[in-house]
Amino acid sequence: MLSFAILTCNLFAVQMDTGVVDPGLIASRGFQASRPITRKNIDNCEVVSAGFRRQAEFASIDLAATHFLGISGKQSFIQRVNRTMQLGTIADWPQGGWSGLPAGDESHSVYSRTSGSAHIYIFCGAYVVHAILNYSGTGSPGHITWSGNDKPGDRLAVEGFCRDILANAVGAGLRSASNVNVNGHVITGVKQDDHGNRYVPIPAWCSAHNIVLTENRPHGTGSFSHGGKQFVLAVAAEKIKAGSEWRSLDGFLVRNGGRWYGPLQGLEQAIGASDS
Amino acid sequence: MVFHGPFRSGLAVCVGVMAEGAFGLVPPDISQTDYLANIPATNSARFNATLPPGGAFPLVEKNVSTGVSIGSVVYVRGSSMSIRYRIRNRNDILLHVHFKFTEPKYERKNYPGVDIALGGSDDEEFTIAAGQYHDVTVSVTGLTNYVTLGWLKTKINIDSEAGGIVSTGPTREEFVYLTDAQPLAPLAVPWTEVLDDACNWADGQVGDADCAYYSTFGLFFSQKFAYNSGTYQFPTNWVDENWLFLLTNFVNYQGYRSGNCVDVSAYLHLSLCSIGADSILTQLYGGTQYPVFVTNPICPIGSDPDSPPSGYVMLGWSMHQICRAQGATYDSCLALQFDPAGAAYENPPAGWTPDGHWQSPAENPQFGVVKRYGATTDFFGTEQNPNQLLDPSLPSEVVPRVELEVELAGIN
Repeated sequence: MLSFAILTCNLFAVQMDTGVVDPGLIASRGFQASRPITRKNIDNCEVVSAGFRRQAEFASIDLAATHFLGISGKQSFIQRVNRTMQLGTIADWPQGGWSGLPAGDESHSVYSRTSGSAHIYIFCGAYVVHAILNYSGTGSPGHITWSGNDKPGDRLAVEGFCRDILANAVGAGLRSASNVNVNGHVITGVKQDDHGNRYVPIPAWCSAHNIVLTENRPHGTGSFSHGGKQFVLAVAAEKIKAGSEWRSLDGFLVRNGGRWYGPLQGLEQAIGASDS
Repeated sequence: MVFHGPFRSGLAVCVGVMAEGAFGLVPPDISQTDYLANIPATNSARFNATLPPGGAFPLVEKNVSTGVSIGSVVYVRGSSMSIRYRIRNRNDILLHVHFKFTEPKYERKNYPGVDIALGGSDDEEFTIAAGQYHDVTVSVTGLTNYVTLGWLKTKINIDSEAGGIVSTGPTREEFVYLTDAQPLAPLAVPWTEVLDDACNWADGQVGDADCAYYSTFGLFFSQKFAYNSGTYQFPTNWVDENWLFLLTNFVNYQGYRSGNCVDVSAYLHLSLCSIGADSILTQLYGGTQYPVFVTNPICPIGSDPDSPPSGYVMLGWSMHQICRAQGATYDSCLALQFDPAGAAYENPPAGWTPDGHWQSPAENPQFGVVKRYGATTDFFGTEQNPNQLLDPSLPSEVVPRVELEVELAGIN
């Protein structure tokens, strides 16, 4: 456990900045900023938070990305989360997001069947992103109609926003690395983590393999066909789906400088381009 | 005569008739209105403004040259109000000015058309050199000595050889919130959106206990919250994990917001803070024997408490958060069918003793929020079906109460 803590601290020892939140991406779902993106230090945590509102439906999203400054930061975060719940703890919540795709190294999500309000937490190493989605209700006591024309779609979008924030936060820790040769093609803009693992821009890596990538930017997902199999990727995930099988990567799919990166060795192994 | 832009703006709320002046001269106008010794306030837009000045409203409430027009001021109940009017001569000759301020009145928002006479008048003559201004400070006394909200109405006449303003009667000049005391953190600089609720709910009240009592009822029946009982394990929607109340998005909603007891009690607390009524937030736990307890039938906020048993449900909770003021419990999150003595009640508990609110009578509990212990397995359903497997036929039992005081870290 101790070694894990040291690993995560070293790997993500960068100060989180407000740039991890992309208001343009969130605007694609009709939400505009309702308050400035802010960064605060709270109880051994760096917290970047932002608020968004879709005026037409009085719908809102509140996002908070937290960087744990050591184990005590994560412990204090969990304690604060659990104090806000009227029954049980975050650990009791259902695991996973709403898309069914892997997210981070631990995720939990819930939503209200009546009001549509929803929460998602995605943990990834020393980071966690939490989103709250709310709608407004009209009517009389006990007979409330809640706004929101596409609540399931909103939830998928919110999960995508969280993935994007997390991918930006984790990806910010990558450093520039020398070019790599993939399938006879030189890929530039390569990054590496503190352990020397190479990360390549996903579109360039796809091109090198003559793969046509279809990306769903708002949801943070992508797909392609290769070798007779359909592959599915999602940012802030550490797995890639090959046919019906989830294959582990040796790192998370992240973003850096607005570009989507993946760990080279894991991607190559996932499509069978190198020995595993 | 045509109203010039600055002149019209400076007296936008002082509906008057401008007297005809000498040809080519501009009548003197009120270029600034500054309410003195008022409580600095803000609102969601200004709080979140990224450009200076940001934060609280500017000191000068109306300023023609900067275009500032705040539209509301905040004072503690019973205060005297000093207002500084800056009267500007925009001509290149000296003007002789006659300023009269008479008949100040206060019209409460909840009693439209009923004017309360206030003290204070001013009648003075002075000269203003070319291009200069003259400040007049008027003292208004007799503001109501209870929490309320409404309009200050005044009658202002300004006369000069260049013409002036002739008010035909007191007109609404400024919206004034009157708090119970100096506002408290985390709303020491109160938001006007919260004051709209707080001063409305506590309208006419004095002191922590009465303000809390009426605010508890006000919030419960305001159709502002609906308890999120359809949510797996009832998470908070407006208080984040850093214990910041997400006030910006909250105040910009209309109608119901989904929330749990943390949200509801936190907003009650914020509304009381905004009017200077002292309260604390307390979490109640059912001791250490079991982590969860079963409630008596409760009517969660957002439902109709008037037709029991319809609207009343039993829930399993591991915690319930309430407001405390002067040692009493104020719980806007729910209505109870019976009071601690067993009489029909059907309202939110307000001003109840902690014991009466939790379980009553102590040795053989039948009333209050808590009925009995529950097993953990009774409450954790599935996300698709969060209904809890409660057995209403089981008898009540004594559940010890453990309290934990919590604080909001701020607002966001």
